[in-house]
Amino acid sequence: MGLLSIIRKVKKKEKEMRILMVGLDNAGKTTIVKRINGEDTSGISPTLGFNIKTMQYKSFRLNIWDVGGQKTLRSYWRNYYEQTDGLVWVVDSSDLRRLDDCRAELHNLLKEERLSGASLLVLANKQDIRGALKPAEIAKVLNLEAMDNSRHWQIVGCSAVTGEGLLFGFDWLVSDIASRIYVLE
Amino acid sequence: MANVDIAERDQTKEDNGDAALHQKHAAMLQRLAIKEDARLQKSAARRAGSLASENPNESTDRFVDAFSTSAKQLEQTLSSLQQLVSSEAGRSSARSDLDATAIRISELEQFLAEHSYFLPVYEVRASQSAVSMLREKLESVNAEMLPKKRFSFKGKANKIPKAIEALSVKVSESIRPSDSGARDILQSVQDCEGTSMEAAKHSEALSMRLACVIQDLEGAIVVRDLKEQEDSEVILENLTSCSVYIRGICRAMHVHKVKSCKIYAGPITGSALIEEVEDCSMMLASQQIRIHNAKKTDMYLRVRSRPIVEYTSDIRFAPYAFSYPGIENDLSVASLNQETGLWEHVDDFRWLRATPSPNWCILPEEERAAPVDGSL
Repeated sequence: MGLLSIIRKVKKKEKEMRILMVGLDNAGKTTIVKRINGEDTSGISPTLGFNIKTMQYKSFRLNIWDVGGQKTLRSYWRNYYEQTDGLVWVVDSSDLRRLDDCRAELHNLLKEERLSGASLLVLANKQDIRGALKPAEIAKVLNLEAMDNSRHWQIVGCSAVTGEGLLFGFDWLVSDIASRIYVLE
Repeated sequence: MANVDIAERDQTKEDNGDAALHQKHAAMLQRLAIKEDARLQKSAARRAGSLASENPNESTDRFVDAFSTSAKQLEQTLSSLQQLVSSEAGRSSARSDLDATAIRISELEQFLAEHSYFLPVYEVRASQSAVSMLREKLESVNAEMLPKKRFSFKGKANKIPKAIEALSVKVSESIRPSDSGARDILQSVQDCEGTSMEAAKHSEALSMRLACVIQDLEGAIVVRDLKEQEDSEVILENLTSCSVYIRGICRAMHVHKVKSCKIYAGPITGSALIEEVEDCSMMLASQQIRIHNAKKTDMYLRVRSRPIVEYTSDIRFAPYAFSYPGIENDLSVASLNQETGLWEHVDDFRWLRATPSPNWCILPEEERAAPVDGSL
């Protein structure tokens, strides 16, 4: 058996997925990643740079790239686009004032050719705050409906504090990617 | 005589040695030939073996051939269907063909998925885009045949199409960076929904927006108790020369466009986002604090993570010094009852060098304000 065929087999068996988490600062990206990984979510500093988490989900290995959302870091997002299978866009549903920014950044991101095949999961985070906008309202403001024909997308309300909605969202994302890239068993 | 004898003997000895050498040489050559033979045989066998073991299905060329032929076929079928559909008579017969085509496109996608693990990235991308083009074409043919179903959220049925359009237009207008953008959005959501059948449901959802909003004030003193709205957020916007005292716990705080104000607040269990403040003094306790576009402001903080600044100048930091009766309890609920010392570990996202950032500094002790008592 040659080296190449070994690599092929390993790759096929491992079923890796590369997932990129982006969104405005203060959306809760790092908290979400830590929450789904079962880590302590207190004392998280605003992300200066990025974090990578690898976790096993069902039969897949998820490589989650959590990139800082501060304005100064957004221009670096494009360095992470290559080979992305799934895109997670996190929204602070209680930050109504910056929804306009949020929509502009999202649509900017989706123009990127390297992300054209990626499934999009929008997480309407901070649903635990009573005044937060509901996912359906966020979907309208972000004009997600416009890409019905061009992309697989889903919006899910969630709370990184309570954990509500996260599993549902990632479950959708993983099975959507799987049905595109791998044949579902 | 004896000499000759010896010489002869030497001669025969030499002959004998020569013959032995020749023999050895020949034997060696033979051995080498056998080895070479064996090697050739082996390599031939290996080649044959590897040919056999290499899966013929794992050839990129083969895949591309197969893929492009069926893609082309589908393309032709779709074109002919398009013509068929445009005439009234052909529609009924086209229905089943369309369904069959849809199935064939899915099969093609499946075929691509099955082979994607060995294909070069370019081929996968190109093939994926070919598949999606086919899909689009199919959609357009479908659309010609039938009026397209509108997308709608599950459970909401399709009773809101007009209101949604009006809303998304209105919302996009209203959230241009206006002074009270948040308000406008709420207003427009309410306006539009008021005309739709969903009105009752939505205004209910909006009345749930239990934010403590303090905005558009000048020269006022505001005192708020948050005790009964533990999970709400605090929004401070458009304030000039005000003093704001907020007692109790909140989930999040948004501060925007605040000038020459003093702001004192109880613990925040989530994060604080502070934008466009100038010439202020703020006392905050929070899990996370982000300060953007601020000038000449003193921040008295207790934080459980490193505070950050971005596009700021003249920001000075000191430890939290606000109190009111019962603050100890509130602080411990928010896990902020102990000084973390992080107030002085500030990250400036606009200053990534090793030298200290010129945009912020620690407030000298002698210039710090006396602890503020919010019991008023």
